[in-house]
Parts: sequence; structure tokens; C-alpha cells
Amino acid sequence: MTLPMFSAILAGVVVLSIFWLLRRDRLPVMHSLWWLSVAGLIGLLGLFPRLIDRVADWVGVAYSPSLLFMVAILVLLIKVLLEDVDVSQDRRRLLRLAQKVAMLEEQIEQLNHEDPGKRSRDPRNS
Amino acid sequence: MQDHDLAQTISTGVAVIPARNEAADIGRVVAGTRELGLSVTVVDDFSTDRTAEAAAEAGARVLRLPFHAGSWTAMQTGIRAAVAAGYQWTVTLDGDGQHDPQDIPKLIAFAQARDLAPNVVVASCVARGNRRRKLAWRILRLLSGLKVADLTSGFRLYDRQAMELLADSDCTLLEYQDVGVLLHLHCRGLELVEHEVAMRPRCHGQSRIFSSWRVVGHYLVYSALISLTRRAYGRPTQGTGECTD
Repeated sequence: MTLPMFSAILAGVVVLSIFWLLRRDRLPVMHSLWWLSVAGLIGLLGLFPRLIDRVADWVGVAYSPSLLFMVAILVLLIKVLLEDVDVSQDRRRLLRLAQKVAMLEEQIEQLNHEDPGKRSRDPRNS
Repeated sequence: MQDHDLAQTISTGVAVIPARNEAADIGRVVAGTRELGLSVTVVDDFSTDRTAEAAAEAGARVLRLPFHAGSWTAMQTGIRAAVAAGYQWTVTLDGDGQHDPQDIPKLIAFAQARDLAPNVVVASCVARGNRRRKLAWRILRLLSGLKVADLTSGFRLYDRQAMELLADSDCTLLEYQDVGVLLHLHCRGLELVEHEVAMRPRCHGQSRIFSSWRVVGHYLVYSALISLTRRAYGRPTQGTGECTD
């Protein structure tokens, strides 16, 4: 197997996986943009391996594979960082919601207490 | 201070008590606070015992979190509810009985006796504490630039302005009600003062934060990061007295 074949297959697998995940509604549509770009990059570098040497020359990196690794690590780092921000945001919303649930539940109890006829409508009993 | 003034003040405030598995003590704490004529909100942090029932029987309004979310989340729930209900001030106590509700009028009197009304009164008990606690206090004071001696006291009086700041979603991801909370208020120019009270030994259990070196380690790393990332860094503050940079 040659390098272009290998990386083309790799890129193809990534694109197909993302396509499948999108079809199954397992991935937000805009998130897929990131992974499709990554797949495109893998395919591009696989088909034209000389490209990385040119870029390395450009930015002054003597050993071009190290540039490849650096870029890969940076891409992953940025993704993980953004992911962490997202998770914190979700956690904040989850906690706000939990607090709101606690407050609303108590208000429902109060209302039912004032009007016992409505007790059967307590959501915790249904 | 006149008795009717105190009664007037008491009627505009609320006590917030976060509790997790405190069924043994919570009833006594609530009853002791209710005796003052003060409304009590207990926030039950998904207890597995009868904490919520015991608190309700003692006359508290009980808010139940739908999952175990941590003591600060419970505390913030109570403060949010207090803000929504229109209370003018909040006193926070621990559910384990180490804070004496009888000290609440003293804190109110202390706050009202000062010319510049403080936004926060921390009821401190510097006398308590083992080596671990003393070391932690010293380190955190150094890192945060706060001049409060008892940074970890859960016995505090907040005015309406402090309550509104703390109820905000900006404060939701904090873990403990101490350095992070005080820094948040301090950086926004609120005045924090301290008032010494006696604290009773816990009847059941012991401090969760200061129980072991491992837990202290987690707490210290967390608080150190909070202190270093969020301290005022020379920002001018309006506060005076005990808490200026």
C-alpha cells in the first residue's frame, strides 16, 4: 500500500463515520464541520505528501514530520479546550435548572397545600 | 438596639440552611432559628435520610435538589429563592448545629451599629480549628488578598445587594461557600466585615473540608486556583476597614 492510498482510506473512514453520526442525529451539525475539516486535511496531506515539506520550509521547521505532529497536537488541544468550555456551560445550565426545579416544586407544594383539591395533580404522584 | 426594631428587621430577612444527611440536627437548628421569628429555608441536597421531613416538621420551607449537587449549589438555591421572594437580607447557617441561632441578632446589631452598612458580615470563630485549618486559612489569606480571618465560616449575613450578586449564574460553578464567594463580592466593591462568635462543636460528624489531608489538599488546590485567578489585583474597591487591598 502507498501513503496516498493509506491516508485516502483514513480520510474516507473519518468522513463516512461523521456522515453516519450525523444521519443518526448523534452529532450536532455544526460540530461536524470541525471533523470534516480534519478529514479533509488528512486526505489532502495523504494525496500530496510533499505539501508538508513545502509548508515546513515556509515556516522554518527543519524536520517536516515534527511540524505535522505539532499541528495535530495543537488541533486536538484546541478541540479539547473548547469542549471543556462547552461542558462547563452545560454544567452551569444543569445546576441552574436543578435549582429552578427545587424552587418550583416547593411552590407547587405550597399551592396544593392552600388548595388540597388539587393535590392529585402533584407531578410527583404522576 | 430596640426590640421592635429587631423584630422589624427579622421580618424582612430569611435564614438559609443547606443540608445533606443532617436529620439528627436539622430539626433543632430550624426550631432554634424559628424561635427568633425568622423565616427559614432549608435546601436539601438530595439527602438519603429524613433531613427534608425533619426540617419541614420544625417549620422550615424546604427546597429539594433533584440530585446531589454540592453545598454551594444548595446554598445558592436558597439565596435565589430568597431573592425571588423579595427578602432584604439572608443569614446562612450550617445544618449540623455548630452555629448558634442566638447569635443572629448579635450579627444584625453589629451590622446596623456600623456607620457604613457592610454588605457581608462573616461570623468568625478563629478559636476553633486544628493545625490543618489554621494553615489553610493562612495560605488562602495570602493568596486571595482578603483580610477576613475565618474564610471558611458558613455563618454569614448577606444584604440584598450581595444576595443578588450571589444568585447570579456567574456564581453557579463555585464549589464552596468561601473564598470564591467572598472574592466575587470583594471584587465588585462590596464591604465585607467580620464578627467574632463562639461556635459549638458539631454534635454529629465532623467538618467535611478539614477531615483529612487528602480532602484538605483538594480544597486548598481549588481555593488557591480561585484566589489566584479571581483576586482583585489592585483593582480599586469601595470597601473600607477590614477588607481593602
